[in-house]
Amino acid sequence: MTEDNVTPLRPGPAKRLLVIDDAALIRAYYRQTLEPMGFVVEEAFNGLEALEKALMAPFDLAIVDVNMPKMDGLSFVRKLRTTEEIACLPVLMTSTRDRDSDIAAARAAGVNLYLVKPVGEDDLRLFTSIMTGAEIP
Amino acid sequence: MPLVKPPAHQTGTVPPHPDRASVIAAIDSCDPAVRRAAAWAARVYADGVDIISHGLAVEKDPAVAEAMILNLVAIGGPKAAAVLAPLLRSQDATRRFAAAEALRDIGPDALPFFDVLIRDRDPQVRIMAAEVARGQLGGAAAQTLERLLSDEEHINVACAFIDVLAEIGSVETADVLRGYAARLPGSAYVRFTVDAALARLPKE
Amino acid sequence: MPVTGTRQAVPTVVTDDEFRKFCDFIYRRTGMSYGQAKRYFIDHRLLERVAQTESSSVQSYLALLRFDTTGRELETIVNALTVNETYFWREEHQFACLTRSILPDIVRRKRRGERVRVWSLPCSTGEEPYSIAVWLLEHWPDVDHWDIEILASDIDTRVLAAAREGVYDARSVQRLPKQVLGRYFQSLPDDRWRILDTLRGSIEFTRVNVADRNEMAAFRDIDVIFCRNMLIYFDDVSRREAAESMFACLRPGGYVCLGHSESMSRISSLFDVRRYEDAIVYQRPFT
Repeated sequence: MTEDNVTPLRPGPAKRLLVIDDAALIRAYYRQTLEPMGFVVEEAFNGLEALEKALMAPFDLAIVDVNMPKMDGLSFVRKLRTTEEIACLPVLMTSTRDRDSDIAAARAAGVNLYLVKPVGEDDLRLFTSIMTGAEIP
Repeated sequence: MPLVKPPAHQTGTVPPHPDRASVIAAIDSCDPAVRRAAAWAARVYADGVDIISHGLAVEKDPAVAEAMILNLVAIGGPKAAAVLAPLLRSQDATRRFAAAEALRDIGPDALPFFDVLIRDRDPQVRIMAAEVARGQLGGAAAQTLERLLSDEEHINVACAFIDVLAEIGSVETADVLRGYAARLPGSAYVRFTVDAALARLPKE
Repeated sequence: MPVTGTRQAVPTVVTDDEFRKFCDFIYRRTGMSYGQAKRYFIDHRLLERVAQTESSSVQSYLALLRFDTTGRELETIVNALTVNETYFWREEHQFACLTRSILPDIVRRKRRGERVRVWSLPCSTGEEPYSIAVWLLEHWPDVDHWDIEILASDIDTRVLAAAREGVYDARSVQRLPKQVLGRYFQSLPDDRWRILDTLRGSIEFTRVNVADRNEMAAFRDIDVIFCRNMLIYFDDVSRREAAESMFACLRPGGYVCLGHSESMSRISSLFDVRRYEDAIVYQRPFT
């Protein structure tokens, strides 16, 4: 994704989001908030499942939780950034952790944007649109 | 024909179980393969929990740590739970989760630890403790979460409780969730979480 | 139990309590877990064994099962519970992945003279290990340069006996091209087919309980494990233990292939996921 190559969500092809969180309710929240805007939402339960899905089909943005079983959000982003086929996927990280050190660790891992949970509907719509180059609501 | 049959002695021969002293030595080995084998071998000894906990305290290799935690679950009991409980505070999210899942798998012997950790001052520990309750269907753990939800200050902790209650709650859970949503009428996030949980709970 | 003087009627109902006790026992001994969704299936198999052993009640059959020190009854009931739905070249894309991507990667790290070891687990009635053998002979250009061992294991001794026999019906072999069928099978009456003796003799069939760490410890230095549609029958802890065991059986850099509906991502973080042209597979890391 490059800054000068921003395409609107409509009428171009639908942007694909990979939503990664172990909590089913949070995945459902993202889906319910973003699907009506025309995004295609795919879910993953942890970082490992997300890697698998990202390798199988292209995505425009990954929305990633930190606290997850088997492979947490930071490990996922580190792995993503060193996996050739998917290294450039933009990442929006959401977390219940709000200390500066948490945010610094996320940056170091290769996260593009860090939001502290809970992420309200408006923020979620806005930042998802910005990061995918979609039309801003 | 390039297909060859292995000589009979290469398959089906079970190696002898290592004695306790070699297991204790092996858990400190610098070879991760040796340490993981030791974690498995330790489970047959009476002090298996001690042997594994000694190794786990300093284990850096995630795969070996996973084997150690798995074997603590296999041994089970309150002693194994006592080794796992403090790991909910680990800085490593994978380790925290592995410990929470392991406590969940240990079952009733982990519940006394759950009761303490779910009231911990650190909200991050309360979030992880809620994971222990997942899978403890319709029991005391669900009631504890319901009681604590009414007083929970932290919205992320509350939503973690609600996510777990959506799985293990009963018909009575619904009123508790509605009560919590009523306290925060302005939050779309809470409203959504509660509505989604209500849809998953058992009906009359 | 009241003495009635007449022969007891064959029990036709399994109570909730009996069902739970039975499932607990099977789980403890084999790692296979069954929930209410499988109730009908389990009840049916269980009542079948109650009748066949002429037990007077489900309760007394459970006692027989528990106190049978020979393990024969456990073996029989496990055989009855294990569903065997398989055919030749099932999920062919994984075999394509084997010859196109996995084996070239593996032999790149091997010295001449070292063996390539492929393990079919569970192998059921033999369709999978024979499929692997036939596929390699047909599709792997390097097949003549390496010595290949194909191991095949299952917990079910009845299917192992059938696998050694190597006789299949038309449905089983329907996906095989005609020439392939002609090259590796001998035609029998009633539209049945037998795998050629040279192939039958080249595969080592052994009984293994995946839940038994000691039995699994007999298998080491494996390059590829085909473990398809088995873990779905296991519960969380048993799955993790099975993944651990397979990890230990593999050489560093070795691969696990799971069924198309299965994923390692919810089971274990021990393996690296690899995306190849034909399939997603899991690799034991080198360090």
